[in-house]
Amino acid sequence: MFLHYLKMAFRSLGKYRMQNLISIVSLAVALFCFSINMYLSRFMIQVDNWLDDRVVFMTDVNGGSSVNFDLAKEITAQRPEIEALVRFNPYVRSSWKKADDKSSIANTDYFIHTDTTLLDVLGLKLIAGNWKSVCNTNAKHCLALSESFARKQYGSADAAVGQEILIEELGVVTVQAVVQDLPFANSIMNFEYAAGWMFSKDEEFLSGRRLGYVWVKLKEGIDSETFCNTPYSVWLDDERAISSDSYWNLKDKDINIGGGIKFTTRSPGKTGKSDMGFWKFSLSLLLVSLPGILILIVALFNYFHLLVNSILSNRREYALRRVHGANTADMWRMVSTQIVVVTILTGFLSLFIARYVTPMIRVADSQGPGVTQFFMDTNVIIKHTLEYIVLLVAAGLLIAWIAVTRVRRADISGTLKRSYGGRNFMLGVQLTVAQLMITLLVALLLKMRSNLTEPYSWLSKEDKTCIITDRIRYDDRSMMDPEISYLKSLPYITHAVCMYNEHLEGSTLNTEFNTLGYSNETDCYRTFIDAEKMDMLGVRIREGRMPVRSTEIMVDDQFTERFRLDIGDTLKVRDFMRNYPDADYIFTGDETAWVPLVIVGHIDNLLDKSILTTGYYSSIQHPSIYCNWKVLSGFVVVRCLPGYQKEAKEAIARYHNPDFNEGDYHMAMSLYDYMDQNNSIWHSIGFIAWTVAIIAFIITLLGIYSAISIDTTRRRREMAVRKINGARKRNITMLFANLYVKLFIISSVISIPISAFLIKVAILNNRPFEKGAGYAILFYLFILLIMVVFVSLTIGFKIGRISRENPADVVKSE
Amino acid sequence: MIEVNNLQKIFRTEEVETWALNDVSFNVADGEFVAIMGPSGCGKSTLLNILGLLDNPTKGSYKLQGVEVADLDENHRTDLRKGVIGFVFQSFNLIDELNVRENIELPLLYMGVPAKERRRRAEEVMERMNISHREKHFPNQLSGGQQQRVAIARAVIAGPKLILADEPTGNLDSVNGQEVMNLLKELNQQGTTIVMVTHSRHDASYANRIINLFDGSIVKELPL
Repeated sequence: MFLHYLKMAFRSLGKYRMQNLISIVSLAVALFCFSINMYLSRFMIQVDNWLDDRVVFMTDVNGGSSVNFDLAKEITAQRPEIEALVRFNPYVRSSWKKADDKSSIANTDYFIHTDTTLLDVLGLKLIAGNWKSVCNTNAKHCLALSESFARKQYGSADAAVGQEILIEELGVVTVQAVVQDLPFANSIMNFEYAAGWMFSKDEEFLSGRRLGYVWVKLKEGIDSETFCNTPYSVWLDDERAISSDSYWNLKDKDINIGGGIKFTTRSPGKTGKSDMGFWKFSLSLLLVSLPGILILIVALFNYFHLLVNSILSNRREYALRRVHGANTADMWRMVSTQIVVVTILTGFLSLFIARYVTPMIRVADSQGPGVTQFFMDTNVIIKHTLEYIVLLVAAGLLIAWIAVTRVRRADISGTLKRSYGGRNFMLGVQLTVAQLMITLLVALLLKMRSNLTEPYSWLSKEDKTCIITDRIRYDDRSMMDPEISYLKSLPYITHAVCMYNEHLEGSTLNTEFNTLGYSNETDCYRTFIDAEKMDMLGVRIREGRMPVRSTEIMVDDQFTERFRLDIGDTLKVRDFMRNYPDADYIFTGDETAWVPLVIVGHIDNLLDKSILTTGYYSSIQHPSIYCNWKVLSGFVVVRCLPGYQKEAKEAIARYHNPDFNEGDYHMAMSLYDYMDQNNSIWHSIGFIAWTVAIIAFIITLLGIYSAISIDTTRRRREMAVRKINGARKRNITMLFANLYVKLFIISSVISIPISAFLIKVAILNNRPFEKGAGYAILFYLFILLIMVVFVSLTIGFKIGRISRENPADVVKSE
Repeated sequence: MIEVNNLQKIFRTEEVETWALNDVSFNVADGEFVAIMGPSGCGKSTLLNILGLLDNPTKGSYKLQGVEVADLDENHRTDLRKGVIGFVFQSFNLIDELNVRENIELPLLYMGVPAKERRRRAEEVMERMNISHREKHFPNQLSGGQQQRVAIARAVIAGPKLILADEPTGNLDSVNGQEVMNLLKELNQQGTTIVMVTHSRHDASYANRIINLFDGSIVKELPL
């Protein structure tokens, strides 16, 4: 019997070949994209769940993940609740090779500088080696590898112990131990995989940088929730401030290092609301997979529509089988076999896609935080896809049972005599869903495009592209100033400035004049600007003047529109963890006073000229205020005369490398290219998202094609009878056109308001300072037009074919 | 073989009540060939459906081979039908996705007969119906007469005691119709009981007895 069912299943597939092919391919693609998305969701839910309840994460008061290590040590000493801390510096970069054969070790971004309290605080297990030797070694540096990395490089954890690795700048370092892999679902390292852990003497630790991630372990009996709800403040005295090798080159003795410290628990949402790494990663995956969710919905509709149609249109056959002894279970077994065959074919295709596309996503994200090179595990994606295939089978079997049961109740003899018409309801639903999904998809992609790459598209214009940046970032004006002077001396360089181009840390802005319903405190960004920069960028002061004092600011049009503030109005801001020109206003907690800032000028919107935001997505979500401070460090940016880009790039490159060769531009690039490079991950993501979106769109249209095909094929007899009675091709076409016009009107009436609402609330304008993509009625009409044209062509094609058949033959065969 | 007493079949909707059969009583002996005739809408097909256990009467008694079957549920009726009753329809009712042999084997499939045995019996029946040369063809590749022969082959393969034919020559030309009637007569002569619904006097002449129905009631029984 099973062979018979199998035979029937394949013959049934052959009956509606094209429709089944569309269904299988679309489901396979959709399943894969859905897998990716669910993978992220599952991951996010699991973040940090493996950590002991007593272990909490240290942040600044705004939740920023990077903490000054000196402050961290100080507060650990001050707070009796804290048992131990562990620090991580993930930004050590140097060349790592095996000492014996000088072969290169994997990307060194994955070796993390940390404390020997690593195992104790995080609860990781020691797999091989001796931890005492790690803690007590007389060597300046020692190393512990992560288990999977040790196995990959040396075959086993034990074999890795004692191996020597040659680290540029440090020399040969011996592997002392192998530790358990850091679970992927963690906010410890911002999702960067830790291939190994580097331990150095305390004074060597983090030379050159004093910022990083800090986790602390609380003592037994301390309630982590209560501890985390308390803000703390701490500061260093002047002596230690001067001696610390801080990120900002502090020379002024009047400046303290200090600020607010908070601790967070590990629950999702609170943990690791860190820097862009996490959100960039999650957003990138979301953008890749969200179209997949949308096409999964459409693909499922295609599949179930086809399934139900197939069952219902075969009622006559089912009645016949019942006549000859088949019972309900026999019918269900037959239909189930068909479903399982389709699902298996879908599954194989989906797994094939997962196997080969997942690595492509990793490659596309290679410029990003590097997480996905390890994190997007193909085997896990395949495993998840298998799980969803099983769910799909279960859903299909359930629908089959319902449909077969319904068919079983029908009167046998009547069924044998009757032929069946189309199911307009399902087609109408499919059209509605298709319209809704396509609209949402296009809106999402337009928004991504407008927010991520359009802001700096102005740089490509010829008269403005003469802006070149020196990629080398200076931390010391004494190094930067000579370069600026040199460049200015060149006849084809019109401007040379230092652009403050690092992370723009959030400050908290208290507007007092907020009349638009926003909370009284909102994050903002400070941008440093002066007359020369404004001239270089072509930014005008619309009204007022440049700020002179540190307590004067300018605002842009977007800011004034939102907050309705004018020249002469006062804002209050308080900063965190940062030195401030006026030492009295160092933020030390919620009790810190607000700094009054006076608006003295309005400038053009810099949102469109977002060279200062360097492509960080979140920065365009907050208002910017413009200050005129002495810039401590940044990038050198020049503007050159039109047509002199090549000379300008050469001048910058030669300044750093006297043996510069023509064509060697790696140290100098145009600002547009620089922005492009910073946005490269978004370009990759955009490419993937658009590719998936186009696939989604094609699948949607093909699904509609298959639905219409089934409908027109089923009504062949009716069309033949009409022709026999005098109808012409035009009449029959109008008959279908009328039907589909009605379906489109109904589907539009339902889908347009829903999609408009969802787009307005969730996609286009959900953040105050984000650039909205905008939408208009034309947008919907355009989508509708595409679908109408496609449906019209499909109907025309199908009816054209059927109308060429001899109606008498059709009636006879049907 | 068949005993029907005071059979009633009423179709009820919200607005109307239709008496398709009204106190119909008759018997059919083993090996008989009975034709049921009457104008359209007189209840012939309804009666045939009840005889074939495809439907239940509203009231009355129906005994098949001495067993009361009038009130059986669907599953029981299905079990009883298997191997006992064969069906031949006016519109052939072959399954398009199955070839000739597979269509013929259908009843044996649901009787759980092994594939080898099914094949053997199908070949035997195809030989008998003179359609072996079309074994691998599909219904849409056959003429009307060939399709009806396949349908008859399907009806007899399980060796049923009773064959119910609903206007078996209705869609056939006279030559093919003749051929089909000859086949049915032959089966009857071999001992199969046949009850046939027909409009054709000529087809009815093959039967031993004609039962005339009018408005759901038997008006005349004519032996031939």
